[in-house]
Amino acid sequence: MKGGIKTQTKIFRIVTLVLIALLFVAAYNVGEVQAQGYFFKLHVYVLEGVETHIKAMELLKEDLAKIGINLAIEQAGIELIFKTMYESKKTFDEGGWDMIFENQIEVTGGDPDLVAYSWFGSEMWPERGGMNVVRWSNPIASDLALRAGSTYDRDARKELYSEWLRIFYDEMPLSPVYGRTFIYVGSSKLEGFDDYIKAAKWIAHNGGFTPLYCSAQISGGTSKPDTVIMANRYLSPNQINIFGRCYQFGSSFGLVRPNEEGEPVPALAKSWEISEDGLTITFSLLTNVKWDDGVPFTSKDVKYTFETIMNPDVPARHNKACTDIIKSIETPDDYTVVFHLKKISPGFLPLLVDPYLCMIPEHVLSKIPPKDLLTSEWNTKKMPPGLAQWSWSDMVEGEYHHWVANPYCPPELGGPPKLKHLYMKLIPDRTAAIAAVEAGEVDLLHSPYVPDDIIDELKANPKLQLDVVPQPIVFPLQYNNQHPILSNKYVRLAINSLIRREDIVSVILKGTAVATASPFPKTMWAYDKTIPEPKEYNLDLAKEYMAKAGYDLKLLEAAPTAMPWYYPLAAGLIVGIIAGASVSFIWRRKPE
Amino acid sequence: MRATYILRRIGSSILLFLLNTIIFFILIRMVPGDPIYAMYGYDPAIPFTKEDIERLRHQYGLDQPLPIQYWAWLQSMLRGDFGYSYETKIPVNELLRNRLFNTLLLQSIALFFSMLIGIPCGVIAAVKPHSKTDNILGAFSIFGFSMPQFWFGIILILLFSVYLGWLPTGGLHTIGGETTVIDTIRHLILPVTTLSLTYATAFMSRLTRSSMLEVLREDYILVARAKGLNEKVVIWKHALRNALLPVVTVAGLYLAFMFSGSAIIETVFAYPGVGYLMVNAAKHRDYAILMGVNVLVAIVVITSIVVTDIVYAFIDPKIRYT
Repeated sequence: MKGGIKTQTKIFRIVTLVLIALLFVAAYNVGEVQAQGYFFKLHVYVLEGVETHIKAMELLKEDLAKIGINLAIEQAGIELIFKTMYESKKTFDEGGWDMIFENQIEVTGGDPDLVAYSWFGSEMWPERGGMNVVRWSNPIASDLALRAGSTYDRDARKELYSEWLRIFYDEMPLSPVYGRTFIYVGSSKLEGFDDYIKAAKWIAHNGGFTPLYCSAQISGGTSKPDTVIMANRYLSPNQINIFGRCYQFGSSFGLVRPNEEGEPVPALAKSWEISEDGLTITFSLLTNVKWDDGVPFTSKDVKYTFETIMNPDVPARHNKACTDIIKSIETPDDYTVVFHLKKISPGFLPLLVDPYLCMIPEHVLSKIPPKDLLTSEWNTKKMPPGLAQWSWSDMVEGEYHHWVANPYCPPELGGPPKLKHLYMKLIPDRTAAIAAVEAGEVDLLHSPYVPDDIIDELKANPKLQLDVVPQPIVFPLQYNNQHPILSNKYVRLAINSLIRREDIVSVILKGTAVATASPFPKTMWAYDKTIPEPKEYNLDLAKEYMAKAGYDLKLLEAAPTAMPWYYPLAAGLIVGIIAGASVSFIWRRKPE
Repeated sequence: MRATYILRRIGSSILLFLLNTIIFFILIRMVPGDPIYAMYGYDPAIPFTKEDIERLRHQYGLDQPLPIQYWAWLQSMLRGDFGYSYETKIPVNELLRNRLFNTLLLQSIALFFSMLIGIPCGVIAAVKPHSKTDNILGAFSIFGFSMPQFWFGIILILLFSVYLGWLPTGGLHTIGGETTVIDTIRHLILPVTTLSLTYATAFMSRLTRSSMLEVLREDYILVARAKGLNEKVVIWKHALRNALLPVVTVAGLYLAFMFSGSAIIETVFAYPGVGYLMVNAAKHRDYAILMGVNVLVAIVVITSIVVTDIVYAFIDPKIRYT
């Protein structure tokens, strides 16, 4: 009998162990199925450290879980995001990307062609030399954009763009989330801050930073009556090379400049004429403009500027944009420039408002070989002569740049400024920069320098005054349209319906932005208010879209909710012990 | 024998230097990102295509294989030319020359003040170990060690510039003003205070204290006291001079270490030095500047180690030339 009990105990132990092991394995498998609870996983890239964007994506992550999409937020540096964005790989797992919440659509010059064609044209994939990084391909939309880009007739263009916008809303190749604003902060002692803001609104369209170039007359700075000091976190090479620096800080101009709607109006060119076939544009230049070294500005300068930018040896940003459009340039006399174009280009004039197409002086720079321009002393130690309100004077590398009033500035370009000196001081740290304004050392600051999240504190500070200026910049959530799952428009539409745009704007961005689902900024003439924007949060609609995309949400709802890992283990233990005990009990009864 | 040792030491340090440049050259290129994106990628205002990127990469020679890029860099470095900054196109030599002076000025003044305060504090603490004075000084040291430079700098700016309005918030010159010695000193006060009070003073004080405690236990101190010498003479003349040896040795190396700390200080105080230059260059993948700064720091550190070794070889008979 004793041996029998021993055997029984052994069997009891073995059975219990086997059962527990089996149940544990089974429970683990069940757990994995339960823990999944989603149809697929997507990754979204966000720029590291940008708290507002990370919070917005966390909000979206919660909502996407409701329709069975598992969103992983990947923080990365700007270089990595940009590099990955141009890769043709189809998914994040392959080393490409699924979604990106960082890049922004900025419309310099206010022409919709830059959006509809450059950003979304089927021929404009990065592989084909364009900037359609979401790789959307819709032949009808592309054709509409092409047609709208081949005529100068504004009404016809508007109709074509409305049609294009309808297709866009129907497919959502990317989801615009909010329209950006810039926050301008000034010392409360600064007079003329309102004029400055007026000018800021006016030039929001040219991508420039310093409204001082367009005759904003500030009446004296805080530290000295004839001086204004602005602070910047970082002077980017685009701003401080000869193609960008002059214009941004008001010491050079383009042929045209933007008006309040962002459309080109006369600047250095007093008028222009487009030939009947649309392939020739003749500009008449102002005759009373001089470079700040006293040499007159002529058509030679215009020809030299464009030929330099189009020279393949010069690392100028608009090289391709210009060579794509311009066939040749003629200068019949000193104040007439004729551009012969390769194709009808309604986007050409709007392109000319860009700061990087400002004029550079032929009489100084033509002596330098084009490839050596950027490393010449005219770019590294001093600036070439300018022709707008401010003349570049001197700099202390790593500390500041200094401009002085240009006495030659003609009234058509704003006339000489009231103030004598303008400084751009480099302050890398934001908190230190705001402290410098409070201490009266700096007069003005502006976004993206001023963080959105402390706007309430800034408003409450009696030492500061501030204003918010809408920008023609749209911040989108980009989808990789070649992704096996995101290529289905219903999935994109479902995600789009779960973006809480109003909450993002009011709570996360503290009201410093405008909720939008349109790729065109609302200030642009091509923006059609009559077409309803799909910008509301709507869970039911999202579920409908998921059903259309072939994902049955009922399956997901029927699945039991995920449970902690120790539940199946505990259940396994209990069942195992009961089962083992029962088996051993039955075994013991048998001999009797 | 001694000459061979010195030659070998110099030879190995040259090898070490080359190895350092190779490793650093590869490391900075392994970091995700590309100077072209950093140079132009920030500005979404301008349409920027893959073709543009390829064209610019070719223009800057970034499409060449790494060994060729390194060889080209090494050749120009040996000629004393570090190339141009990718960003600003200013020659790196010029950038380093201007900024190095500023950083050395800041660092050496900060080091001087931290030694001026730290060493006496260490001595006072060591004379009466575990007394109230020692404990209070120890608490201050820990406070100094653990205080983040970034935070302390901002607090000083808020207090002395914003509320009291006594000192400028940053920079090295008053904009639109004349560059005078007094103006420069005014700009240096806050960064020097932050740099010395947050770490260096505490470090010097603790180092002096432990070194002094050891020396005070030596027999010759006992002899000096037995001779009936004044306690002040014993402490400040006999003990401190011996206790200072390790402190001075470490202080030299500490200058190289402070280079890394200056990155934070220079960012907060908008100070035009090497530290901020380096941070900005790293952010924007400006390889030319990064390599330049690396060579500079490597030369400072390796030279100071080699010089110390060689000096030891002369003064310390325990060093063997093997």
